[in-house]
Amino acid sequence: MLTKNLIQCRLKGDKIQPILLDTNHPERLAEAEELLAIFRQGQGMRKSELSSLLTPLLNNIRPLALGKGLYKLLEDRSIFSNPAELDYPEERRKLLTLSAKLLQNRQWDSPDEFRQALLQNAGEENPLLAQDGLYADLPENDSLVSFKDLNARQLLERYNIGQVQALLLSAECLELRVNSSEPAKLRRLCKYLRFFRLLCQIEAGKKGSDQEKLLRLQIDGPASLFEHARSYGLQLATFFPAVCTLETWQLRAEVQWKEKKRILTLEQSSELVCPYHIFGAYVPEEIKLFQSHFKETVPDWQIVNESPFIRGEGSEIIFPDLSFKNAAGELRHLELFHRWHAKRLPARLTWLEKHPKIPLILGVDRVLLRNPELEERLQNSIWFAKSGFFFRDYPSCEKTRQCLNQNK
Amino acid sequence: MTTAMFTLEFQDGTLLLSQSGAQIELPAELAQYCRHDPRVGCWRAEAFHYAEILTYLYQNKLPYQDLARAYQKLTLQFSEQRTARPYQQAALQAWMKARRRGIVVLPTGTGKSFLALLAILRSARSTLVVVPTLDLMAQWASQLEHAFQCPIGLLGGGSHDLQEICVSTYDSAVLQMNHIGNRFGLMIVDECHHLPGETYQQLARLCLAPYRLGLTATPDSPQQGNNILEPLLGNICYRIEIDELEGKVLAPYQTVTLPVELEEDELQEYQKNRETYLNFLHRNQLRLDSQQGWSLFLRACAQQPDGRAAFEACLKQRRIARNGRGKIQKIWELIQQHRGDRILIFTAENATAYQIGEQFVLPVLTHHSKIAERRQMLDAFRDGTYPILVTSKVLNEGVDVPEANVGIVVSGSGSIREHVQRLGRILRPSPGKKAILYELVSSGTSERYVSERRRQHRAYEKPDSMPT
Repeated sequence: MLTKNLIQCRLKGDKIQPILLDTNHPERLAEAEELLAIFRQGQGMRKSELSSLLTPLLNNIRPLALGKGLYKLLEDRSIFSNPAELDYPEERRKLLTLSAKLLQNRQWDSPDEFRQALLQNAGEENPLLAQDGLYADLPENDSLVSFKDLNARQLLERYNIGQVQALLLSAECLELRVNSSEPAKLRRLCKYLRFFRLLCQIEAGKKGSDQEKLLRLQIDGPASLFEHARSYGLQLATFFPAVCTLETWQLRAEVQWKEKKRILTLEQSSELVCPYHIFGAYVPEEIKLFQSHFKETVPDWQIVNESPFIRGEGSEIIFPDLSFKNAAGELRHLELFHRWHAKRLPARLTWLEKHPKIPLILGVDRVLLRNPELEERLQNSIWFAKSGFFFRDYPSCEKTRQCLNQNK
Repeated sequence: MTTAMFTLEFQDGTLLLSQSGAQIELPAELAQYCRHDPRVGCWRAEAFHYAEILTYLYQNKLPYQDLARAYQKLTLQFSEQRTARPYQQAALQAWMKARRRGIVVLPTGTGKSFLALLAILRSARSTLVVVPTLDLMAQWASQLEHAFQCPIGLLGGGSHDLQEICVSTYDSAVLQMNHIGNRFGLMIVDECHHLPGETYQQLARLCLAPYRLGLTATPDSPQQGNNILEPLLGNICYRIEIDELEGKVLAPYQTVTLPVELEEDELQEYQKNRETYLNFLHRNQLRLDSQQGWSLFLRACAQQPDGRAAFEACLKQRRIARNGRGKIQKIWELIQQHRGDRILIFTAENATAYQIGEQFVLPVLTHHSKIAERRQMLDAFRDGTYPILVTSKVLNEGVDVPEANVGIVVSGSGSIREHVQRLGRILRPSPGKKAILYELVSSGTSERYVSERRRQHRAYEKPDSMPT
């Protein structure tokens, strides 16, 4: 990821736009290719040697920050190690102890006289007494062990994504407009929202209108209400590549730039490319555990890989956490309510009571029972007694099974 | 109708305030800390307002349940034999009187950490000590363990061990505070002048600790940052300066500024580059002493055809002034002159520190030094195996090297704070100790102005050898 000081952007009024590279531009591709060639052939080279090869190239790239940004991305993909076969700290300890003794023993007329004495005592062949030998294990002397290769276009694409991510690090909120006709990708997006503990409100366009397929996602972190709190910027930035996997999207974010609030807008025509080929492959640990345990202990139901979106009350869209199917082909969806999105629970309950045929069951974190009104509402709900259950932190397979069977 | 009951919860570095039973309008005294969060249907506040919110609910007898707090009341054994000095006692009283929220300003070497131990003892709540470096983390952990004879948690440097008394680096605290911000009743922020930074202030914002103690030797002026520190830690509740403690708690000291001539070729090179650099500044009407000066200069360098040459000239003239050959010779002379003393050599840049280290075969400590070797070097300096230690900035603050009695500032910034902190390194008292701080300044260069700028502190208001 790029850092804020490497961002290239344009300001116009209250708008901020990252200067995205044309990833087909022959000159840019050639510059990227030259940098890549050095990293590809640089195995075994010291950082300082790499730097001496790269500096003339980087100095020719305009603006200079672009060169620095590309270098940062390449360095992030490299593994360096200390080439020393010597145990430098130990050898240094011995030599420095000897040097200290000699310095303390007597007055020396000149540094040369002192060095001669040191050579005699430590041995002329001591590698630490060669030029720049004492601290030869400094980071700039680390050598390149491996480099995760990519092609020139991919490097430029990563630079573009990196620019947006660096801006989102100081974002206060993010609004996404996406087309609901890509359910699989949207589901992946929603999984990521949950994984990064971002708060999200999803609204659908009015039924029957030309915006029927449009979804509006308002995304931010819990502390977004406060001026100074942007601790969720990293989550927003890390989440962003998932947006680029969608065919149609528009993004609007409020970002802090040099102590002013600026508006960042982007859309699919920005041609940003998600750098992760298997971005959707990550499954949080608790879900993995639940899935494997469920498979072992609940033979009559199986977890369905993809959950559909369900239209809720008004324009609200419900994204179930898990979906299940039994041998008879019956489908049930499970929505979980944790403390950070408890507000919608009463309305959801009322809606489900009115529409008992919706194949949705609810799991509610027990922590929500601390609210006496909500507790009373749940205890008195006949629908919840049949189609809902309580859990702590994450639901158990047995509770889920019981509820699925009750709801048949 | 049931009575309104407030519930306070901690969520990701914020407080959620909800009501059940009869809904009453949120009193203005509480509303000033809270915003209504429609996403969760209740009020939300930054965690550091916990004390104010709770105090209001309690004092106004409003029923509440506190589900936010997850810190403990501790029963502590104190095995420190030392007794508090009068000024430490006074500082503790002042802090307690300020409702255990405030900043104490004490010079380096006067026992800030002992004061912190007393504050922990008196507060007896789960405590987090936040420090800027890994060296300080290790130093604090060892002092806390010795004082309280209990396991001390560490956050940072690869450790994630949460205990009732815990030490964390600033960086780790920022990363973890979302999750652990309700685990501590007392937060001690060492070297708290770093806290106003945009990122670091988050660690204080996301934590609900009602008791807070900031420690520093060099606070910012109110214009610089205390307006940020005040709500996060409290006001300065006690302050005492170096010169008030010299010869009593601190070693008597002398500061000596040594002018060093540049050699002829260096002087010519310096003047040529300085002219290029100054011409560029004048032509663009730039002043580097203004707040935005440096960034405006960089922008101009990036935009103009001769910008790169001006930038390189700027760096070159500074490098010559900071590291002239005369300075290296002078260091050698001082090393010879102070044979038997414990010498710290300070530089502005790592490269100069390593250059001196290579030339005179001396131990060099920078942020590149690995933890184990860093410890070994500090131990060897303390026990006298290494009588000289070269460093750039890592020893500017906090790390305890009481044996040092000679400081040589080869180069540095114009920061008063940096200079006072460097002086502080050599002032820890011991019988018969007299400390001396040398400052090497290249004659006929801009270093003279830098030196004047960083000496604008009462610790330097004594006669020395600076020629007029």
